[in-house]
Amino acid sequence: MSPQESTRYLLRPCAAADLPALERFAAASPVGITTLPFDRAFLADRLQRSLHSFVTEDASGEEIYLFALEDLVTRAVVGISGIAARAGFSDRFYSFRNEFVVHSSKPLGVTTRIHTLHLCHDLTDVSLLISFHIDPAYVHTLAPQLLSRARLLFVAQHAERFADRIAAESAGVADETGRCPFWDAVGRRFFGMDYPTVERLTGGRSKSFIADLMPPSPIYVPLLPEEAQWAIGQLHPIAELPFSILIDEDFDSDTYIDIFDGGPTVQERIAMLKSVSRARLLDVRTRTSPARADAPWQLVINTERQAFRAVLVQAPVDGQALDLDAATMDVLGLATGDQVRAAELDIALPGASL
Amino acid sequence: MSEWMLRAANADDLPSLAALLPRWELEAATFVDDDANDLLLLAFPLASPSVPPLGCIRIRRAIGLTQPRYWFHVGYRVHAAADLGMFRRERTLLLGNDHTGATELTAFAIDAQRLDAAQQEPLTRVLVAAALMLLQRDRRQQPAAAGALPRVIAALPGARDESGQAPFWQRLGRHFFPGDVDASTARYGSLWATHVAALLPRHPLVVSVLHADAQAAIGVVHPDSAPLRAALEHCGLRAGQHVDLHDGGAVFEAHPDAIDCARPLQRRILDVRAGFNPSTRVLIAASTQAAVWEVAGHTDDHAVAISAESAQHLRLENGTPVWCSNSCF
Repeated sequence: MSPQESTRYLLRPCAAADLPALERFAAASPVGITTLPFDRAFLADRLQRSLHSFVTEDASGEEIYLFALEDLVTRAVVGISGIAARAGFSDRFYSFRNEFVVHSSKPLGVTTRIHTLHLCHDLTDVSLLISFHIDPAYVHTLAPQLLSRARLLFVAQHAERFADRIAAESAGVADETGRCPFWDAVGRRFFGMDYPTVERLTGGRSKSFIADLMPPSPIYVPLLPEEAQWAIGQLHPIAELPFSILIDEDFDSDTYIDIFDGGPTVQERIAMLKSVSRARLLDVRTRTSPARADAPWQLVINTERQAFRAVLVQAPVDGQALDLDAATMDVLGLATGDQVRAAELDIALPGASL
Repeated sequence: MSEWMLRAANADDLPSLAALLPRWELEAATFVDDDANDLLLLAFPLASPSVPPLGCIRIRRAIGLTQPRYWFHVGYRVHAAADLGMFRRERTLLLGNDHTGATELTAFAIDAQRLDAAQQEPLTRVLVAAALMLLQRDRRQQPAAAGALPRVIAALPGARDESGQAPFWQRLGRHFFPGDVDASTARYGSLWATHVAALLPRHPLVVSVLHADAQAAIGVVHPDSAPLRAALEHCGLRAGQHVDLHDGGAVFEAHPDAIDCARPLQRRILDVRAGFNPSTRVLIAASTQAAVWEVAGHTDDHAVAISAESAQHLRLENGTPVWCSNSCF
């Protein structure tokens, strides 16, 4: 059995040779994807940081781990994703926190529940899922599931390098020119510049200036233009797929939004996430017969860091063992008796295919 | 030019006051004998003091000490990011009780059915000046009430749109109290603002986030109140840093020492002269009575001289010590 028949996609650490792929995804990113600006020097630097992060034994929290999703049939990189070990490392990570305040006037017989946005640093130092990009041709396959969820098992496997809570920003509503209704109603008032300009300013630099320019008092949502109110917690179309995966993982999406575009910032304790809570450390055995067609899909990672590998396979769990075919064992760099961390997936994607 | 008598309202005046003030204002009004901190001053032509009053103004001392009063304070916050070369000065609105304890001039009204515009303007000045004169007189003669603030304020009506709605409220307060403002005001009077304040934002509001219509209405004085504004400014009051919760209208204010028409308040002997017809005007107040007269007269270092005809209306005898002022005219 060839690897293509058993597992088509492999998630691995980005290598130096993946820079062109990073550039390709950055160039295709719409305005608003701040973690991957189309800047070769920036991307090369980020790639170097990632390479070092996987290697170093001296994790400080400033590590960034970038992963490449490889189509084992075409050998092409069809997606990238990443993890920042600590959001806002050496600085503050800003979000707006949704809060509802209740005002009441007994004489008037009126009680109102008012939606407010509070500038906060709550998510500083949590781990952060970043840079999810998938080739559009693979959107309707299982590839994005591997690209997104395998990161969670990587965090669980190397928990000492990460916080016990993890978050992810999702791009909010903006048009093709970068016009963003939430920004226009809120950020522009304080920054005096358009969203793409701020994005260039903030990309890769300290965001401490945000606190200097944004009001410390809450923003009362009913006072914002309707277009901006509507944009709160709404997604850019490009973010719908990764967001849906995170929601399926039981991330909380109601508490925080991005201070720039109002997109949802999801967060949760890592242990509470579906794949992480389901994952078990299993011994691997080499299977000689083909897996049954109705065998469950398993998200499987090896326990390595520098040689990290993750795949999706249909394989049954037998007690404390997982039976993998030889090709998959090879892709994961495993031998019989090695351990893997595996979580059964129950995703149902209409029309999804390998 | 008319001469005027201004006196405290009494219960007998209530039927005739309906033409000047809304029902809720009348229900809230007290009379000089009831409450020395709340005085409704009525204006009558000196020659016909039994006609219905042509104007009124209410003096409320030491406001907010029994029921909290609220205003928006218009302040500023500077947002600066030196490394980006950014510096922004943002206006803010903060709900507060800053004028608690102040004296308020309110319930200002003139009967527009009986006075044309040319007649309204001088009466406006007389009403304001008379109220301030009484305040200054009392300030000289008696200690301030506990909790009183040495400040005089007057909230002027703010901007309205074609339909009579306040854009400031429509773009701000309405989001926190969706009810009918007019109906609530009719029911609760000035206490409505106290009640509605419990529903309004407690944190500072950055003005630039508000709708442009609300921003434009902050501190605006309705054009119909231009004469009142002029009268207040003439007497030394100025728009301060506060606006009304409902329409964003400016709250004028002054320290009593800065009130021009009261600074030269003089204690003089009344000098009644037959056939006296001076070209100047004076305001005269008795020592204790809640009444002020605006008549033709003249002051010198010792006396205030008026005609015998005017003195008949004042019911004050020659040689009576009075308070007087002529600086507003």
